Amino acid sequence: MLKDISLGQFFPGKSPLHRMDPRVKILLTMAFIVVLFIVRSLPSFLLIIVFLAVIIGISGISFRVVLKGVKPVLPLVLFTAVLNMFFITGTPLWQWWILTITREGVQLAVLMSIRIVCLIAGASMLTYTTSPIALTDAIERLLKPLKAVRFPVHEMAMMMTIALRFIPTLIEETDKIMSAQKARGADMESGGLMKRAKALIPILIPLFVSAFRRAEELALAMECRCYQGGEGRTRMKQLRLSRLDGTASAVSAAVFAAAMVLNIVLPPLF
Amino acid sequence: MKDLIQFQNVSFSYNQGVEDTEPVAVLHNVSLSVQEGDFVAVLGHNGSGKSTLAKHINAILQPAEGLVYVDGIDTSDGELVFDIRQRVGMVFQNPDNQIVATVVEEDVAFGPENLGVEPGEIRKRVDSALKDVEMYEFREHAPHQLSGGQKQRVAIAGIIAMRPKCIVLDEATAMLDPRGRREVMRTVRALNREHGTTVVFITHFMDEAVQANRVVVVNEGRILLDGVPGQVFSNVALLKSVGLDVPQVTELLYSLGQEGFTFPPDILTVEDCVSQLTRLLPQP
Repeated sequence: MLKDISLGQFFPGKSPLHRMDPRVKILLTMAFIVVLFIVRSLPSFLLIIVFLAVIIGISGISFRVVLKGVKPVLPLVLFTAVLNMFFITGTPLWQWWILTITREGVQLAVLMSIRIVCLIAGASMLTYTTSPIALTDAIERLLKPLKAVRFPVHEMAMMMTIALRFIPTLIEETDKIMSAQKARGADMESGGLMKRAKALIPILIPLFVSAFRRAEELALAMECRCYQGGEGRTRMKQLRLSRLDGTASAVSAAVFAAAMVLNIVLPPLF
Repeated sequence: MKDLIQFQNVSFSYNQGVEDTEPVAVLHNVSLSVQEGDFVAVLGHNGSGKSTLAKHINAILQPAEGLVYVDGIDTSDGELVFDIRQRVGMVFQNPDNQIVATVVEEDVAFGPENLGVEPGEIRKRVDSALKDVEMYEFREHAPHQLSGGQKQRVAIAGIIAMRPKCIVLDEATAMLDPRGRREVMRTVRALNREHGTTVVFITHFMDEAVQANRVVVVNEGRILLDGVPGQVFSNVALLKSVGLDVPQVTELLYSLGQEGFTFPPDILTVEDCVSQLTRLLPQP
């Protein structure tokens, strides 16, 4: 039951997007988000939407999957849109009692909705096409300069890797403990919120105990394999920038620049 | 052949020097040496001290009295702990708790990466280690997609990628199903035979111990028996008196022996046993 939860939402594939250096993908995603929040004109947005559609096309991931990923944030989009519509002052379009919808409000609502949807779709393209381990790796390497200010970059990346490694193991274990407690007559499905929360205690305690035991054994196994922290450690997989990364960066930079120029040249629509 | 591992009058107790507790003596004056390239099974029931013995080999524990040498290095020298661990790899009981990475090949690379081996060389070692344990085609799988026996073989690959002289398996088959146990046993034997890796195999399964070149039986922190399997298992009464079973074949022939039949002393395999028994049957 719990085992079926897919984590990280990574879809393995061989598309150019999958083959790109994860560091480049992270940086380009960040640039994309920044551009998304700077531009205000309609042509810029159209350009960005087309760009996003092309990326999704290249990645080989179906639009339906991407839309499904956006779905959970729709209530948030709706909420912001409604707030914007009613609370922005400007030229009134429609009025009833104390509620006023302004022209500016509607414009901002549309703008924010497009932004949020594009943001989620764009950012999820990163996790859809990059395995969690590649992401962790890229984050470790991108944050490396922070070592100078004593930020424990390697340790953080190691913690992320181990956490990712043990999520399926602990989920499986939770499943087993739940079955074991049910077999002893534990009731987890009925009763109010408080009763159900209390029913979780006999699951969480054994889970924690076992997690600590696992941690201890894992630490011993790591020491036996000569783990001594990040000092003097090499990596089997070296991240190398390829021509693909160059092309992707150039194309993205051109699109982002065009979006910004359109934003400045054309009068902001809103 | 030279001795790779040497125990000289080793004693050890848990809780040594901890206040308000009685030290629990686990090993008493143990002396033992293992030759390079040997395949030694260490047998004993729970609490016999066999795991404690294993943990001395790669300096997880240091002897309270006596000395342990690995490849000529004294294990009580704190400076050289990682030199010892590079020479002696250890595989533990629970396969889940010794796999670090989320991808099989990344996990096998973990040890060599820690040693600071150059990337191209790590790749070569990882590939050959995975082929040695017959897990090469699973190199891009996540550990949780594998069976227990497969996970344990990945753990073994992670050790041999460090190119140790010796592998210690501390009850590495105890949590596996019979098929997983056979897989691990086959892998370990192949490593011993084809690469000359010294193997110390801690177990309480008799049928596994039979496959070793030498069997050491540990009881209450002392070495009870030490010799080739045929010789060790001929002491049926002694083994039973310390709560250990003997292989089924030995058991059968022992019982028949008490009924007055005589057999050669070192029969351990089912095939040999069958041929001995058919000899006794009236010929048609």
